[in-house]
Amino acid sequence: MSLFKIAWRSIQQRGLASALTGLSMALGVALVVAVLVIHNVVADSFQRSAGLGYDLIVGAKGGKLQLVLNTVYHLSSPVENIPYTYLKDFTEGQYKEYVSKAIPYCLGDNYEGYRVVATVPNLFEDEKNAPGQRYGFAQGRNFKGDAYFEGVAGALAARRLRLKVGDSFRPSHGVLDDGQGHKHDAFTIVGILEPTGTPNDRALFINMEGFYLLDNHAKPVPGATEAKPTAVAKHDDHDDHDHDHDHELKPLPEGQRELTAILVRTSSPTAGMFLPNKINEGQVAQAVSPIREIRGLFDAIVEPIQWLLLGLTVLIVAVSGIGILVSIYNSMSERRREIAVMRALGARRTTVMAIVLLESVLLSLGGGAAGWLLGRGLIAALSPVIVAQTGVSIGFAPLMPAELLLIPGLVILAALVGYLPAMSAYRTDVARSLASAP
Amino acid sequence: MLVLKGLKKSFIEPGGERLPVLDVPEFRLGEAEQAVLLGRSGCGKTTLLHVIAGISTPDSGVVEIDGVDITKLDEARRDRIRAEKVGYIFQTFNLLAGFSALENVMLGMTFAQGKRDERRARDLLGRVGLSHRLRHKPGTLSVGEQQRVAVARALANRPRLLLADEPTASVDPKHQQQVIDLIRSTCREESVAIFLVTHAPEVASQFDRVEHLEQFNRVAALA
Ligand SMILES: Nc1ncnc2c1ncn2[C@@H]1O[C@H](COP(=O)(O)OP(=O)(O)OP(=O)(O)O)[C@@H](O)[C@H]1O
Ligand SMILES: [Mg+2]
Repeated sequence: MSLFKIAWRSIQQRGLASALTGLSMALGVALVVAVLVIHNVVADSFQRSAGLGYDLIVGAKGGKLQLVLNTVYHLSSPVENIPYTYLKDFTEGQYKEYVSKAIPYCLGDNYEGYRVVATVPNLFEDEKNAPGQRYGFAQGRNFKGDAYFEGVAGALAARRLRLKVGDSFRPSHGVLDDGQGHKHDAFTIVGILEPTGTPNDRALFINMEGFYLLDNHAKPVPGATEAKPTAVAKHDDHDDHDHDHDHELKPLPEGQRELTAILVRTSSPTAGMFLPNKINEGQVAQAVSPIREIRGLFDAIVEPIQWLLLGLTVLIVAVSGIGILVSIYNSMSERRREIAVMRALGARRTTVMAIVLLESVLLSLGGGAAGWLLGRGLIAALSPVIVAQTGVSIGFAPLMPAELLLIPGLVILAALVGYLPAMSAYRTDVARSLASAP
Repeated sequence: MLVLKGLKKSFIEPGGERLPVLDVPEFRLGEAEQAVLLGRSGCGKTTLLHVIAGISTPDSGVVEIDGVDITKLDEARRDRIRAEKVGYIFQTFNLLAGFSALENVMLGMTFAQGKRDERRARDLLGRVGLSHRLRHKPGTLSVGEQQRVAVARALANRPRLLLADEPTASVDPKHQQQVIDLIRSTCREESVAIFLVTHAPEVASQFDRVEHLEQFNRVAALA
């Protein structure tokens, strides 16, 4: 018989107390694991979403974080616009050589509370949104550049809004659905994106050309009060909901167009360092690194909160440890005689001490292992809910170094809480305990 | 086998006074010798067995087991000698409640180094007639059966000396004889010396050598 078995037997003997202390340890560790996994997933998804594969976001001078939150996370209040012509600097003008891809964004509309992004089909074409990821369509196809009133829906938005291919929807002005916004003309959903685990899952994307033709989306230009005669002629008829978005529509003149942001993928790392300075020197716009902004936000707010949570859960584990201490310590008076018998059989002081310490270690590690499974199971069970609520997909979170730290951590905790009863076992007066009636 | 010389043991009483219990000028027990120890209650029989087993330390004197004076050893070595050379049977509550009969017998092997012989444990339990009770916990064994397990356990490590402190005091007369026979025959087979404390004259009368503690303990003689 090994000392392990002896320790295990005495855990078994205090069945209920052991089960309860083990359970409380399991719950504590489950919380730690859950917080760790969520921490990891949040950090990971922040990182993954941060750029969506773009190095820079160019927008009106002002709040940097706000620009990133608007364009990448579809959050925060809207930002100022920049002239449409500025886009040309990236596609054919002075910045062309530094840029491998530039995607214009027009923001400011929503549909039933889901943000509507007016952009170009190229957003979903070629390359990838992030290393290892491509946009795919679960249903239908991408919208076409020359079909002005087509749009596609992110996976989560489509599910929540019950949108299918062929449905049409009318964006309203404003980023929140307050029921007040003026309803725009209808866009037809031609595709539903596959889930990406990024905030894009909860947005709708429409053709920018159609967006410009909506009411109030033309920039008032002095001397051109009736800015969009063609659009008015075709689309002010609000009784007719089934437009043919035919190609007779005339695009809005460039002078009346505005952009919210340009997502830029630079042609090289050097360009990525060089280009922001160039842009920021100018008067028109600012260039922001989404990854850096999100990193900053993460470090300043998310990370401290998560540390706090982790601290609290570790405290819970420590309290469970004290539960083990109480349980074993309480049993010591009943076990004096058994310890004396073991000593009479030749067990050393250090041996009976080790048995008690082992008990503590087995209880914490056993409870800890159960807690790990529980925590992981909980995360796995909740992951569909989390995806549905947030669009952040948890998937299988790999084993984290912090989780491995649980093992030595629990052993140290067990040794600390086991020390007191172990010392009591160590000090047992054999002759006297043998004399006392059991 | 066992030699005691100039052995003195006293307790400090709660009042702070010294209570002398043992003062044994000389005592010897031969190889495989079987002796019984008598004495009135409170005369120091249990204390003497504790000192011999190294569970208690004497104030002075020599306790030689198999040629080794254990009073000169540190506690860890005394524990080791006890594990390997001495078997101990108590009056009651010999067994650990959480462990099966077999596990209780194996327990002593755990504490002696390098010996973990399940076959020997099974064999001993067979010799005390408990082959069919290996997996039983003490709570499901009769008191007589428990004492037989205790006999098997005391012999598990092939000790040279068996100390038994009123091993049959809580067993009925029929089973008392059974346990005594068992102890004596097994110890004879394995040539283990016995030093057995009892209050029962019918037990004492079976032994060739009968010692009265009052006779060789000067404290008791004075009292
Ligand atoms: N730890 C102790 N502290 C103080 N006195 C003790 C202690 N242990 C035993 N004594 C005393 O020493 C004396 C001898 O006790 P011991 O248990 O050896 O007697 P005994 O001969 O075994 O008696 P019994 O036959 O009743 O078992 C008794 O008077 C007892 O009160
Ligand atoms: Mg006694």
